[in-house]
Formats: sequence, C-alpha cells, structure tokens
Amino acid sequence: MGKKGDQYEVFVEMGRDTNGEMDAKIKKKKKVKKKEMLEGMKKEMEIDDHELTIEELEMKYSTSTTKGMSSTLAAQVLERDGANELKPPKGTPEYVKFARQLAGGLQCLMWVAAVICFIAFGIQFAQEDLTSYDNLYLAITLIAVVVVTGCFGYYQEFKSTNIIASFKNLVPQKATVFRDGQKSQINANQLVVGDLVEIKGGDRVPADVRIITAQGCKVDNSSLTGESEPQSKGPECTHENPLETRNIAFFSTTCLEGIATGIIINTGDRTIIGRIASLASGVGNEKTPIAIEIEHFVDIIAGLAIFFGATFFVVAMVIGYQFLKAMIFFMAIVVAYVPEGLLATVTVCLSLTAKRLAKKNCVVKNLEAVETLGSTSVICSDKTGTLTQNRMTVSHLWFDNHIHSADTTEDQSGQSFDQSSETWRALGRVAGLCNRAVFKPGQEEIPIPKREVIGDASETALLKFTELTIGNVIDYRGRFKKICEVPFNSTNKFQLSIHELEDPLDLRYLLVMKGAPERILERCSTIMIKGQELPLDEQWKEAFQTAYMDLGSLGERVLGFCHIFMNEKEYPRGYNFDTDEMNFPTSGLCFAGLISMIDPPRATVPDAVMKCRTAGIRVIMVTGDHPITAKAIAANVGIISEGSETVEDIATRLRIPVEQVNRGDARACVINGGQLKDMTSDELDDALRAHPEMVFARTSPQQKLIIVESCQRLGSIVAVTGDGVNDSPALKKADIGIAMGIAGSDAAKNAADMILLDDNFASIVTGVEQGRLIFDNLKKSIAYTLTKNIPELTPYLIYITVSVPLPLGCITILFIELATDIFPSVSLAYEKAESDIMHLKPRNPKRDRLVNEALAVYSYFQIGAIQSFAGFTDYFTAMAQEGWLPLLCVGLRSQWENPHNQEVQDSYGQEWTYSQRLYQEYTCYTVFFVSIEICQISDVLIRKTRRLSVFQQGFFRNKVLVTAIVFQLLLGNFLCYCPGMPNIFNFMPIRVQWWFVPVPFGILIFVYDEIRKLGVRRHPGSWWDKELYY
Amino acid sequence: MSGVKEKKSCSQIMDEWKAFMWNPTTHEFMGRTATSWALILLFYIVFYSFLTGLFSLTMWVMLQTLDPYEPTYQDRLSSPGVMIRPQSDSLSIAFTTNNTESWDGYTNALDTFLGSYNDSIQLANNDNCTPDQYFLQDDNGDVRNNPKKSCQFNRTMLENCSGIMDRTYGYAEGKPCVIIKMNRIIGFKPGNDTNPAYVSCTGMNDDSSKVGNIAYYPAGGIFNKMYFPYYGKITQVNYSQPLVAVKFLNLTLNTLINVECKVVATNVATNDDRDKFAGRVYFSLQVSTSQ
Repeated sequence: MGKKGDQYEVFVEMGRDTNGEMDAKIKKKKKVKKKEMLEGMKKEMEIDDHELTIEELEMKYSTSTTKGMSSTLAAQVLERDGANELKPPKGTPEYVKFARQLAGGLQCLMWVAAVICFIAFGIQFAQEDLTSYDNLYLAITLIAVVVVTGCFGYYQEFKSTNIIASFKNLVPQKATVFRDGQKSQINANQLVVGDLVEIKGGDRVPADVRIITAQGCKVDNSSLTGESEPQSKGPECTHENPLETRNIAFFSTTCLEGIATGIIINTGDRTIIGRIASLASGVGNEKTPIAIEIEHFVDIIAGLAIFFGATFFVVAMVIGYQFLKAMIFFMAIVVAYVPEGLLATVTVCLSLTAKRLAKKNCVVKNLEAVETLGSTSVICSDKTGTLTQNRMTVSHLWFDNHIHSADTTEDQSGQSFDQSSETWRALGRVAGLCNRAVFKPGQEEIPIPKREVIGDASETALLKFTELTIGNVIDYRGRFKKICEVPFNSTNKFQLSIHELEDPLDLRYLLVMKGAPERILERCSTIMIKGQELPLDEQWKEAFQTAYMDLGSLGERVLGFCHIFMNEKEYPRGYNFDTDEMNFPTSGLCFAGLISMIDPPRATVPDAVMKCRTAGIRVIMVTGDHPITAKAIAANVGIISEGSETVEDIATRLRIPVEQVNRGDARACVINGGQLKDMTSDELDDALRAHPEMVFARTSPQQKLIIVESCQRLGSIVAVTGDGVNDSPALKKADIGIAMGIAGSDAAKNAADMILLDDNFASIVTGVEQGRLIFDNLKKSIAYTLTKNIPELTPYLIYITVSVPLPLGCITILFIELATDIFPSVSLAYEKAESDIMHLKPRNPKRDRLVNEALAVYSYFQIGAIQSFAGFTDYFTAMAQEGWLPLLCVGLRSQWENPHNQEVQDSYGQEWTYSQRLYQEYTCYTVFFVSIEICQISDVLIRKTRRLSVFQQGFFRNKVLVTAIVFQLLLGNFLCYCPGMPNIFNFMPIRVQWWFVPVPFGILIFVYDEIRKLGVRRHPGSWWDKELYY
Repeated sequence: MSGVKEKKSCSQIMDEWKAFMWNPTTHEFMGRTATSWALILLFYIVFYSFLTGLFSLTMWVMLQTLDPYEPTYQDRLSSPGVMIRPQSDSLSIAFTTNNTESWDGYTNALDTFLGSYNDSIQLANNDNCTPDQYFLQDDNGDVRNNPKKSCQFNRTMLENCSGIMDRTYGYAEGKPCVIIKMNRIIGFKPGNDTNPAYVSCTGMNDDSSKVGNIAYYPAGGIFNKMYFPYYGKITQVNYSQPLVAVKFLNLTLNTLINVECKVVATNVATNDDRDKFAGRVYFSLQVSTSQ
C-alpha cells in the first residue's frame, strides 16, 4: 500500500518538473498559474471528510444520510459549483490557432513578398506609370496562397482535434440520488456536493463519494491508481490519507459488485481525477521529431531565400537598378525559392497515411505522430488487453494425472483435449454447477467467447469453458436443481453448492466444491482417476503438487474441484441444509481435478513482437500484474525470447545465489514495482542497457513515467501504451503515446497521440510500418518538390545578371508550385516500399534526417540544374523562332521592358510594340513552364525509388502516380490552351513542338538517375554512394 | 510527447561553427577534407561541363534550323504597330507658336528622322518602282534573289511636311506636321489588291470638332503598295519605310486635343484592347499662342 503514497509524490514532483521546463520556455504568467494549481493540488489532499463522523458530514454539507438534500439547496449548490463534469482541457482559442497557421516561417516571407508587390503597385499607380496590374495580381495571389494553405492547415488540425471529441460518450451518465427523501435517477452532471447517492455493481462512481453504508462493495480503481485488483469499500475510515482510506470512492472509477450509498464530497474538476487530468494536460506537449525536422528545414529554406534575395537585391542596386525594381527582384526570388506547395504536400501525405492507419484501427490524433511511430525504437506496452485478450480463459486442466491444454484462441480454432474420460465428466459437472455466473440475456447470436457475463473473471472463464465443452450450461444447471450454496469468501476460500441429481430416480444429493487447490485437496480423501475413485495417498498428493507447481509457473490462476455424492439415507429428500451450520460433509470429498486460467495472448501478438524484433524495436512489457504471470505471457508472446534467461533463472539452473550470477549473461530481466522503487535512475538505465528483454511487473502507472524517461535518456524514441487516467503523464512524456480505444479512459485518450481502436498490440506494428514507409515517401516527395525551385530561381538570376527578357513569371511559378506539381508529389505517398522496411533498424533521429545534405544537393545542383538547362533551351528556342536570336536577347531587357518603346527591332529587322513583346514574354513563361513540367514528369519517375531501378519497382504499379502524371499534363494543356488564359494568368497557347524541346533533358534526368542508382547498388559504401545517395 | 531540448550556449555555437569551418584534428574545411573537396569539385566540373556542352549542342542544332532571312514564326506579329514622329514618352506635342524654343526640339527630331529620306540618298540607293502594286521579289526555288531591291521614298513626297519648303514643318504658324510610321513586318502586305492602306486621323470623343481640317501627304494618306512586302534587314538593306505626314490646318488653339490616327486596311487590326498601338496611335496636341 506504500505504493499509493509515492504515487502522489510523483504527481507533485511532476508538477515541479513542469515548472522547471516552463521556466525555460513559457512566460512567467503561466508559471504562476502552474504554482497555484499545485497549491490547489496539495489542498485537495487535505480532504478530511473521511475522518468526520456521519453527523459532522451532515452538518458540513447540510444534508441527511437518510433523505438526501433538499432540491432547492441542491439547485443553489449546482449554481455555485457548476455541473459535475470534467472540463475539457483548455485549448488554444480558435483564432490563435488560425493565426498561427498564417504566421509560419514561409508564410511570413510570403507576406513580405505580398507587401512589396503592393508597395510596387502603389508607387506605380501614384506615378501614373501603370503598365499592367501584374504586381497587384501577384500580391493578391500570394495572399490567397497564404490564406488558403492556412485554412487547409487549420482544417487538418481542427479535424484531428475533433477525432478525440467524437470519442466522448454522448450518452449521458445517470446516477441514483436521494433528494427530499425521494429516490430518483438524474443525469450525473447535475449532482452536487452533499447529494446522497446510491452506487451498485456496474455503475461508474459519479463523483468523489464518502461511503455511508456498503454491502460487499468493490471498486475498480485501475483507471485512477492502476491497481488491477478491485478495492473493497466500506463506511469505516481506515487510513488518514484520503487516497488510501476505504470510505471514499473516487469519481470515474467503476463499482464492480455490491451496493453502497454515500455523500458526494467533490464534484467535477475538484475531484481527485479532475485534478490529475488537468495536471496531465499541463505537461508541455513537445514537438514530434518530424515537426522539428520540417521546421528546421523550413527555417533553412527561408534563410536561404532571404540570403539569395538580399544578395541579388544588393547586386541589382550595384548594377544600377531602381530601388523599387530591386525590391521586386527580391520578392520574385523569394517566391521562386520558397517551396510554397511543400507544407501542403507534407500535410496531405501524412493525412493520407493517417487515413490508411485509421482503417487498420489506429486513429492518429496529430498527423506528425504517424512518422514518429516509424522512428520508434522502444515500445512500452501494457499487458492486459493489449498483448492479451483481456478475458480470463481456461487454458489447462489436470485430471487423470495428466495436464490437458484447452483451446485459448479468440475464435476457438485451436485444438481441444480428449473429452472421453469419465473424470472429465465429473470435473466438467463440478465446473458447470459450482458456478454463479450467467450470460446476460439476448446474446444467442454472439459467439460464446464474446458474450457478456455477469460474474467475476474466473467464473466467467469457467462458464464459457463449460458452455463450449458441455453445451447449454443454464439448461444443464436446470437439470441439477440447486438446493443451496455457499458463496466464495476469503476465510474458507472455497465455494460449494448442493444439487439434486439429473436422474429423478437417484435420490442422492450432489455436493460440488471449488476453491484454492491446496484447500480443496485438504478436504479430499479420494481422487478420481479414469472414473475410478482411488484413495488419495502420498503418491497422488505429490502428483497434485507437481501439477499445481507446473501450472502456477505458467503464471496461471489455478482452481481445484471436488465433489461428493451424499448418501440418501443420511441426507434424504427435503433434508434441511444449513449453510451457516454446515450440516453436511465438507471433508472426505473426491478430488476431480484442477483447472487453470489465464488471460491468453492475442493470436496476432507473437508475430507482431517478432516483427518488432526484426525491425530493431525493443518491446518492454510494463504491467501491474504478478511477475510470474507477466513473465509467462512475455515468454509466450516472444518479448522474452526462447532460451533467454533472467538472473534468477540462471541462479536456479546453476544452483548458485543470485548475487553470484554474472548480470551480463542474462538477456531477460523481470523487475517488479518494489525493486523499481528502490532503484536510482542510473541503476534503471544500467538495467535497461544490460538486458535487452525487459518486463516490469507490479508497477504503478507512475513508474511507467520513470521507465519512459529512462528509455529516453538512453536516446530511444519511445512509444507507450496506456489506458488509465494515471497513464496520461507517461503518455504525454513519451514520444508517442498510444491510448486504448476500448479500455482507455478519456484522459488517456486526450493525452495520447494515437488511439488503438481494437486495443491490439499488432496494430502498433502496422503503425510502425506505415510510419517508416511515409518517412521514406516523404523524403521522395520533398526531393521532388525541392528540385523545381532551381529552374524557378535561375530565370531570375539570368534575368538580373544577363538582362534577357524575363523567362518565367511569378504567377507561373505559383502555378507550378500549387497546381500542377501538387498531385504528383502527393502521389509519391502511395509508393510501395523499396525493400522490406521492417528489416531495418529504426532511424536515428539525430543522424538520418528527413532532408539531408545529399538530398538537397542532388535535387538542387544536379537534377535542378538539368531542368534549368532544359528551360533555357526551350526559352531560347521559342525566342529565336519568333525572331529574337539568343545573342540579341542578352542585354535586351531595358528596351524590351520599356512600355513607351513600340518599335523594338528583332534580329530580322521587324518592329515590335510593347504589347507584342509582352505576349512574347508570356510565351516564354509558358514555354519555361512546359519545360519544367516535362522534366518534373521525369523527376517524379526517378523519385519512385532511391536505390532500386525504376524498372525493378515497376512503372505502372503506383496507379495514383500514373494518374497524377496524366492530370499534370492535362492541367498543363488546359492552362496553355484555354481561351482567356493569356490575360488572366499569363499563359499563352504555345506551339506544339516546344513541348518536345525539353524531352531530351527529361530523358537525360532519367538515364542519369538510373546510372546513379546503379552505382549506389553496385558499390555500397563507395564515394559515389556517399555523395549521391539521399 | 516531450523531450528535453538541449539549450546551447553562445560560445558552444561559436565553437561548433569554428569546428565546422576548420577542424584541425580531421583537417576538414567546412566538413570536407582537401581530397574530398577536390573530388566533389571535379565531379561538378565534369557534370556542368557536360551539361553546358549538351546545352551548346542543342542551341547549335536549333540555330541551324533557323532561316537567316526570315523568322520561323510570326505569331505575335499578325498586325503592325503604329508610331508617330516627333515622339516622346507621353506622346504629346505641346508648344507655343511664337516661342521657337518650345518647338525646335520637334523640328530637329523630324529633320534627323527624315535625313535618310533625302531625295539624293534615295536616288543613290533605291530603285524607282512601279507604283500601286506590291513589289514582289520572291526567291526562285532554292536560288536566292539577293540582295533585294528597295523602292524610293523621297522626302519631297511629303510636300508641305517635308521640311524643305517649310523648314519649321508648320510649327511656327500653329499648323504642325506629325509623321505616321507603320512598324516593319516581314512579308506583310497591308491593304488588298484594289485598296491600299491609308491613314485617317480624328479627334477623340469631344475633340473631333476641335481638330479641324487635316491634310495628308502623300495624297490621301496612302502607304503605297510598292513599298510592301518587307523582306528583312539582311536581304533588303536599304529598305525605306513608307511614311504618311499629317498636317493639322486649323486646330483649336490653347486647348489640349486628343487625336487618334488609324491605319485603314482590311488586314490591319485597329481594335485590340490590350495593344494601344496596334494599327493606330493616340497622341495629344496643344498649340498655344502667347498673348
């Protein structure tokens, strides 16, 4: 019970931690708030209601323990305290979220560019020097781009926040309350402090309740404290600490059985759970690795854009351009260099994967978590429900001196045991009759293992087991009319019932009994072997012991079964059985056998764990369960692999004391919560380093936090699963928190980054696979997106330095970035993995960056350069064929752009008006645009793979990509040939042959990249590989 | 999600940066050793040499396909632009009749412009062609008919606006001459077989009455067909563009008058909204008299 004591120490400490972190980052104001909260938390712990007598309580809350409150007073209190519900964590206001989307690094640059455009337009307008509205259009387009991408980002964020909202139970919870002496059902959120409420088995405790009366009331505190054993509650104060005393039941815990009445002492956010939930939401949400990657990258891009822009601004000023003109150059370079479509591409790629994951039962709350999952190197998994099926199931039977295995698979597809023995009939009869559990009605259609049962876990297991093996148990019980029964209690540790026999002529009574095996054995004098009752001698007792030990070491819960037929003479029909007096034989019984139960692992889990192992991911089990059970399940699913031994195993095997074992020899290690409490963080780090296979048993959820922190100290990216409220700090602390969709509490779901709808560990592995794939594919998408920035930038550089007519306009660039190239770059997200990504080690987030130097250099200075040459070839071709030979173009700019000169001579002596030249310039834009498009088709094909040849990957396997290329071409054609385009978006209907000028360069890109990949494949580790593999 | 963000001190960043610039232990300059730099530079030299070579080759091939005498396409030159002389950025002609300095800039510009049209020069370089028909000098198959002849456009054809009889082009008496010039386009034949292209000037909007009478030289403001088509500056070196002079005989004085001069011909577009100089030209006149 000392566990609970440090549990809230941890909370307090956590609060301090948060303060420490806040110190560095967040403004003082918040810090103060945090402290207040902490004070509040401490105050909360000073609850003394559990120590008050009932009379004092009635005084304090002006209520009555018989009649409840008066409705009028309740209404007043409700007005004072507010509704009894947890307030959702205070989010950032919507407008701030939206504003944040508009104020990213790139967006700020675009704002600056737009402002420059406006100023330029304003000055031109003021000077009545207006030749075109291009600057105004451009400014509006830029703003539109920022706003539209902002809306898009906001929508994505909004949608993911809504996912969590949808999890909230929409059906209002009801509570039974006494008011004005009347018992009534009201919505739980209407409850107030002082209300007298009744709680019965199956109810959720509606608020923090001081128990007044209780009958066999047991409460599952696991969502609060993580204790898996139900805690019994009663009216007596057993401890001065409110968390430990028996007479307070906490909000959101579940009453499992019994009935209790009590007075509400805290409601809503003032409940213990409310405090914890709001504290957990205060733990700073750190950025995901990919968010850091992308921001880092955007910063670099923005920095480079400003650097380039500023350099050329200075160059332009030095060359002698006007200030305004130089500013426009600056703006144009920024527009050309910034990959406007990149953020949208990344978001779409991630949300596509998120959708794909949702189909596989992983709901991702924040998109970046998809990728984080891919870089996960440690998974700390719960046992119950995640690795296991979360239902007790009969797994072994011992009868006829033999251990038989039962079928534990979820769909009953496994092998069953031989049921022909007479002993089995006896054992089955005891198991079926000595059982109070019943199926809830109306479930005939549902397969037996999935049916809901009223009764505790073991009885449920036995009920389902007998239903499966014997048949209709209820009917069976009907045939053996129950005369009386003694329910299980902790003093005698058995349960018995007495039945009439099936055969109406047989007037004997049958007594059946089950319970703790050693207690049952004590009461037996014979044992049934192959239908024969044999005396229970030492030999049989030893056999029993061996079997009991064997089953126990499998971590299974074992029950013993026995029976006796009572002599009809001594106990004739109508005999008055008295369960208190026990006026019937309870010893000298006949031992039938043992049945052991376990919560079996899910069928898919061993494979999933294996996959993790090959993928270099370490799976650590963290459970509140008993070490032996934990170890057994760990061994079963492969977390402790075959042949791995713990220190204790080695000690037993070598028969030496534990201290003498070389710790390095033990691959596996089971640490229980008690040991963990005494370990320093260094010792824990050492243990995690020394033993690759770890199981933490009997841990509290707070200790989970410690384990996560330790893993992170060792440089791992940690994924953590959790369901309870107290898991939420660990879920927040982890790089990726995974909440359980079925068993998870709202607080856990709130804190998590991802929710497993089926609570299945195997789904996490699917997530990891998808995460790795999207990392690879994002790399490809980004490489594709970056490449075209060079052919967008070089026209300006040439324009400024060599003074040719402008080859590519800003609006055209925006069309490439935001229209034609978006679909192809997104389509790369559908690319299949090049190799078995689950056979690689997780990426090292410090070394394997999303955008590395090789990727940028290869895209910019090689593929981008080829594309630029393609664009200029096409540009000069279009100019020359219309009458402007390349050499004439050089230095032509000032004449060309003079709106007052209507007589500029081309190479053939023809004279051109300004407007004719302008349309020729638009033709150049279009031609350059087409060149980039053609090269980008080649680019998207080469980006399908980074190492394999495209021929190995298959050209047409990615249907989306093929569609994207077709779409890109169609859109390009539409832009070129749709009437009206020249005057709206500066696209001209160009001659068909100019589409083909860049084709040789496209082929060059493809061939060059195939050569690159060939070199990379053939000579791994070579200079070529190092410089050219991205 | 959380993680400890390492805060680096300023000096640490400087040290890292220094180590990046020059790492004395590994002899690395900006993350690469000398050999590494040499290799990567060599790679890029080869790479870009190849690309430049390829670019030059494609450009050379492209230039080979061009005809030196006429452009491959004339997509933007379906209709000629029109300009005036004397010319200024704002295309406005404003002067005071008895203030010589206010207009001698215009007359000097006209003198210079018409210098090449002097009869003596025209006689020396150009032929006397048959008027009222296109002067076709087509090539005979592959045999080039080069150099091509040009027709004489004598300055005297502009009569009162030639600057010979009236050296002030009428500016001194408030009856200014403006010369209309049509852009050269290879192979373009304005007008049709029966009607040549001619210039017509009107006042814009309310100004039509203020423009008064206009005299055109040569007669009718015609661009004679014998000056077309143009064959390009290589073959037709001495080509003299035909001109039309417009003389405003009784302008309303002391007011700003907007004038539009159009080239009237079936194949000259004058209604392009985007190109204000397509087949027409707008300019303003303001002739003042000092009191």
